[in-house]
This record gives sequence, C-alpha cells and structure tokens, in this order.
Amino acid sequence: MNTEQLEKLFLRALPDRCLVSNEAALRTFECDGLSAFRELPGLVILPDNIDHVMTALRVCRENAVPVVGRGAGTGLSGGALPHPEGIVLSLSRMNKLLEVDAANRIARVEPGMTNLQISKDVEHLGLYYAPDPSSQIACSIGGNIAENSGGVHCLKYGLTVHNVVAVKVATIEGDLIDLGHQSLDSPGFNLLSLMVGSEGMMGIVVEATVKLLPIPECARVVMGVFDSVQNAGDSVAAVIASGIIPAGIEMMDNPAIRAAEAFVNAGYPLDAKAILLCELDGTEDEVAQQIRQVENTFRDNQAKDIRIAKDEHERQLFWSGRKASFPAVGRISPDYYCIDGTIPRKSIGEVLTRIERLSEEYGLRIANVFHAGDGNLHPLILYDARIPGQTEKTIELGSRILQLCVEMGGTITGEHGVGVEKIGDMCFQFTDDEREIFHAVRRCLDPDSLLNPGKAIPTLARCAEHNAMHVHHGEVPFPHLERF
Amino acid sequence: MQEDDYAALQEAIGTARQSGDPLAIEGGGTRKFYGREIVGKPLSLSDYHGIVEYSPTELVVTVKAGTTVDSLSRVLQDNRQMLGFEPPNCLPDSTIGGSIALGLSGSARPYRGNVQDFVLGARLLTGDGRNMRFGGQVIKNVAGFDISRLVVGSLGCLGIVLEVSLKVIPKPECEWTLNMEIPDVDQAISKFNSLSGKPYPISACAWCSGVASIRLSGSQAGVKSAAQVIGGTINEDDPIWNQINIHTHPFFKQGQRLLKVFQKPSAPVAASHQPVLVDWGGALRWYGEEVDDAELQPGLSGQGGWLERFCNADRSQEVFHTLHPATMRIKQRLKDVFDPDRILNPGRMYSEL
Repeated sequence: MNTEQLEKLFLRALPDRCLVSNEAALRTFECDGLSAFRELPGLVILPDNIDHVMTALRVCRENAVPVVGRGAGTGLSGGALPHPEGIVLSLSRMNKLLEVDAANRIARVEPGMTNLQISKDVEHLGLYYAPDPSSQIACSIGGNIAENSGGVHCLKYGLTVHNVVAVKVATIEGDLIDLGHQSLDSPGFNLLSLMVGSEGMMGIVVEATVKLLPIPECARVVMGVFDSVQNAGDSVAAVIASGIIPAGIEMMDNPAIRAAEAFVNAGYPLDAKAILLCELDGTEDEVAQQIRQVENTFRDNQAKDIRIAKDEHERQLFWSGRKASFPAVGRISPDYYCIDGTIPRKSIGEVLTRIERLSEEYGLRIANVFHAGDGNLHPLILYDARIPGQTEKTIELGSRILQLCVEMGGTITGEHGVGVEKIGDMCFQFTDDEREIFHAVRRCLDPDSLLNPGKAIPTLARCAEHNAMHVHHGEVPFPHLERF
Repeated sequence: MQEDDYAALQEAIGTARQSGDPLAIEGGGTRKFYGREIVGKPLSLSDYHGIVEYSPTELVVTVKAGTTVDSLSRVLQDNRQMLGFEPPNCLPDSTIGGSIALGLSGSARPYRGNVQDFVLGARLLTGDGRNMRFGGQVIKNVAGFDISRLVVGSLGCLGIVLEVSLKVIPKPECEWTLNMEIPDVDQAISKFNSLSGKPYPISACAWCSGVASIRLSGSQAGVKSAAQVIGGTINEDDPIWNQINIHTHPFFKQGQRLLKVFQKPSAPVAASHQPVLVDWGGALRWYGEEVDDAELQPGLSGQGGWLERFCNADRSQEVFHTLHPATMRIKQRLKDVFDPDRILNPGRMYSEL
C-alpha cells in the first residue's frame, strides 16, 4: 500500500493529528541511529494513548499492513528501519511518568519516556533506574525493552531484562496483556524475558514497570595505565577474581585514548597502550576498602601508573573521555562503524591482537573502546564512505570481527541488537533449527509476521545465500564449530 | 558414558513420540511434590552430569542438568563463589536441571534477582528431538530471542534442559544477620521496605513469629557500617536463612498444605489472613492450610499479586494462579512449538500445557 492508501485507511480510525504523511516529515523517520540504512515509511502514526495503539494495530491486522515500532530512534542496528509499504508506530508522544511507588521501589512509565528522565524524576527519593546506555539522554524505555539495552554498569546492575518488572503489551491480535507482575516473578512460562529484546517482533509495549535502586552512598573511579593490552585485560580478570564486582570497568586502547584526549583533555596518558577506568560504588568504607584492593591488583599486573579521582569533578573528568570517545573518533575520521560483539573476558588480549591483524589486512584503522567487565567490545572501524568500495570493505571487516567473537565463545551483539545490520551474522551464530524455532516462537505472538518483518532473524534462504558468500577458498569458516 | 546417556534421551523421546506415551522428566527426584500430578514414564537426567566449563574470572559456569546443586556449590565455594539465586528446597540429590525447571529463588530474590536473572544460556532437547543452544556464556548477549530464560520455571514442559550456563557471584566477604522483635507483621514489612530503599548491602529480609531478620552481605566495612545504622542483635552466622531455604524451619515441618502468595512488598496484610512466614522483604508470604486459597485468588489478581499452592494441595486440580486467557493462548502455542506431541511433562504446570 502507498502513502495515500494508508492515510485513507487510518484516517477512518484515528484522529488526523496522529498521522504523518507528507514526504518531508516522513524523512525524519527514514532511519534510526544506523543511518547507513534508510527507507521511507508508507505512513507514520504517533499515538497519544493505548487506545490509539490498539486501533492502529487492529487496522494493520485487518489490512495486512506491516508495523515497525519506534521509540526515540537512537538504536544502532536498524531495528526501527521503516517498511516501505507499512507504518512506523512511533511511541514518542506516550512519554509520561505514570506512577512512582517509592515503598516498592518501582516506577510505572509510558514507553516513550527517556531512560535518563526516569532517574531524574525519582532522584529526590534517593532512587534511580540502573541501565544506562550511552544514548540515555535521548533513548526511550520502550526502545530499551525492545533491544534489551545495556550500558556501562551492566556487570553489577544487569541489562534491561534484569531491571524491568512488568510490561503491558498490545498484541497484533488485539489483546492487551500484562507480562510480569508488580509483585515479583509470575506464574507460567516466562514471557516477560521473551518480550525483552524481541526487537519489536512480538508486540508493542505500551507501559512498563521498572525497578528503582537506591543511589549508592559513594562512587569513586580508579584509572590504571598499562604498557600492554594483555596486562590491562589480565587486570580485569584479576579484579573479578578478587571478589569485587565493580560498578563499571571500561578499557580504551591507544588510538581511542589519543582521539579522546585530543577532544576533551581528560588527562589520559598518550603513550599508554591501554587504560582501564574502574568505578566502585557502595558505602564510604566499602569503597575505600575496594579502592585499595583494585590498586594492588593493577600494580600486580604491571600497571605503570594508577590514578584515583580525588573528587567528583575529577571522577567526571576521567569519565568524560570515555563517554566522548565515539564523537572523538568521529573527529579523526570522516566515518566510523561501531561493532558490538561480546567475548569471554579471558580472551580480551588475544582478540585485540587478532583485531589488530585484521585492521592491517584490510588497511583500515580500528580504535577499541569497550565494556571490559563484561567482555562487550566496541571496535570502531575508521573509514571514508566517499572512497568507492570502502563502505563495503568496512562492513566485511566488521563481520570478520563478529565471526571472531563467535569463534571465541562469544556473540555477535552484546547490546545493540541484530536489527537489519547483523541479520546475516545470525547465520553463523545459530543453526537452521535454532533460527526456525525463533520464527516459530515469534508466530506465537504474531501469527502473520506483521510486526517488524524482516528484522533480527534471517530466513533459511537468506542464510543459504549469506553462507555461500562467505565461503573462502572453498572452505566454510570455522569448520570445527558444530553450528556449521 | 555421557554420550550413551544422551543417546538414551534421544531414544526415549523417539519412543514416546511414536507411542504417544508421555515422559516425566526427573532430576534427582527430590521435588516431585511440586506442581500438578505427574503422569508418564520417568526419564531421569541424574546420570547426565558434570561441569562442562568453569572459569572463575568469567563469573560463569556451564553444567549438565544432572549435576547436583551440592556438588556444584562445593566447586564454586572452593573459588569463593556461589549461585546468586540460592536455589531453595534442595536435598543432597537435587540437581541444577531441576532447579532451572522449577525456577524457584531463595531469600535474596528481591536484592540479587531470580533464577532467570542468572541464566546466560541453555542447551535444550525439545519434544520433537531437536537439540539446540540458546543464549551463551557471556553476560551481555542480545542475539536471538531469549529462549534460555523462557524455559526457566517451565517445569520441563518446553523441553529437556540438557545444559545451562549460569552467572555466578563472589561469595560475600562478610554476612551478618540483624534480628529485632517486631510483633506486628505490617510494621516489619514497612521497616524492610524503608531500609531496602537505602543503599545498604541488604541481601534478605524475613519475618516470623514476631521477629524480623535482616541479612547484610558484602565487604566487612560495608556490612559493619550498615549494621551500626540499622541496629538489632547481630548474629554472625544465623541458621534461619538455611532453615527457610531447605524448609527445615519449624513453620514448614507441618506436613500440611502450604500456600505461597506473591504480592507487592508493601501490600498490607489482611487481618483475616495473617501469614506465618514472610520472606523477600514482604513480597513472598507463606500461609498454612487455615487460609482458603480460592477465596484469596480473585483479590490478588486485582493488586498485581498471585498465588501458588506449593505442596499437599489437590494436584488433580490447578495448583498455579489462573492465567489470563490471552496469555494462556500464547503459552499453549509455545507448547505446540517446543513439544508438538505433548510428551514432555504434560499437565505438570497447567492442565492445558
């Protein structure tokens, strides 16, 4: 159906203020944070309330119109890439805080509310919402649920799935169902966990109840400076082995350090091969004790310098470089491509060495910034899209890095989701049977596959094509892995 | 040996599919009291055991389903680590597979999370004989739908969990329990809730017979400073948590019907229905057989609560909270996907599943 036909169809059911149909306005929705992929949607619907969402879904079901749910559009895997003959259901107007229940430490919110706003609105109660994706100032809680978003503090406080207590979901079949409870846990199969991270393919979350945690009494950060990436990686494992779970532990390699330092002057040593930023939180006494332990651990692993942020200002300064590392890399290269694989922590050294080799092989520079505590890598491939063929080369290099992650026992995506970006890479992480089950599970909630069609889970045919493309010298990659 | 065991599982599934006679999946056979009545030929996983991989610095362990909780806990203990969900109701033969299938979490539930919060991946043998792995062995992983958490607590109705990867946690350096007399249960719950909103290292709160117990776990320094502020009598090794966990606490030793009621932690206790034991800081309330569960259920549904007839109920009837028809329909479809011939623990959870 084209825009005109869709508009006619939905105008019968919804007020015209909910519809966006002129081409200039539709352009706003043509991509999410992964701007390399663009598609003009047939129509955009901006519901004011749950009734509007249910009505929109009913019209879609009755007319077999594809629906792409969208939060703030900050996703990095193209999960909200529109369907040319479908609608984008943008939940941005449903952005209210519905209820704060301080005694039970939960908040009930609409899906369009931004992640950071939740914490701001409950700060006066000494509470906050823990998951903190780097886009938290803009990203919405509905989008976080669709992607199971992470952030810097996942090792200690978990991902979105660990911090959402219940969701209200509008299904494509016309039901409004509650998954999870305001009490803890729920009877029957665990549909709440299934819904979180389902990339908008199982229903539209119209309300969420999230867990609030007490703001720690104190948070301090230690910076470890290392001459080798291996020593930095070993330090991370040693901190964990000593029984400490840091609130966050981040690593940056030399290219990332240089880019960040040039951008924000965080005081990072330019000659370091790697730095670690380790944040500890808890009571004053507890943090003081753990700082000493981390300091000793870093020293035991040949840190050549250890700096402890002396006050809140310096803590923010240490973090500023890490937080600004993506835009900082953006300043030293016309384009960059962010990869999101996860590996077991013990392989950090080996993987970084092999990434360096791949960087040389492809002649493309790579800066590494990552959540070292949970092994979630964010290699940033620097390239220039204006040079013919370089974008394709970059995407291929990204895929090689993800294959390396799977080979090491990790995964192709730690927190950004599969979307359209990594749909081909799903073929080497999962077997035909596993992907078939994913499709079948999805049909339990969306029998006609109208919700975000074509995303996240590749078809068998697509994988056959993808794997054929990746046969190298007649050999399938990683023949020892049983998934091939 | 283990390969033979796996082949035996495959064969049992093949035979059951052909004959249509269901299988009753068993771990150590120690928690047969749970759920609805068991039908089918027993299929034990107790020989399918062992730790597949454990790297303490990764905080991840991968184990086969038949591994006993006891043996795994000992290995973790040697590395000063533990299972964060403190699986309850474990006897020496109780297995990890059983703990995943039941999906029960111990007293630390509100503070550390539930069983699925610690599951990173699982290998599943479905009712149509497909062997598949979901999730993985890393903490952050969003590739594919979260089937490994979906199967937690599914009582074997979606497949045989062959192997599971679990996130483990460091054993706290220090663990103290603070006991205080609070005769009124509502007052105790309100105390738990106000303390839980503060940044103290609380890992459990329970109330029984007029005594409130608050467990603090963490670094020596953190526990000591919190204990000073909270007050109460300090017990450095209080047996109450283990007694609640393995049900040796006097409350459980009655051989009677027991009812678990899950409510918002702050929900007031009805004067007509006084719980005997409160756990999870007020979110879990245990009742003896003096309470009429059929009367309680409708009121709970309206307040975001639910109940479970934990043991000694009429198991030919439903024992778990009634589901909304739309969610039951989805769950029936899931059952059809994972176990199309309905040979795996049919009816153990709900008669329709």
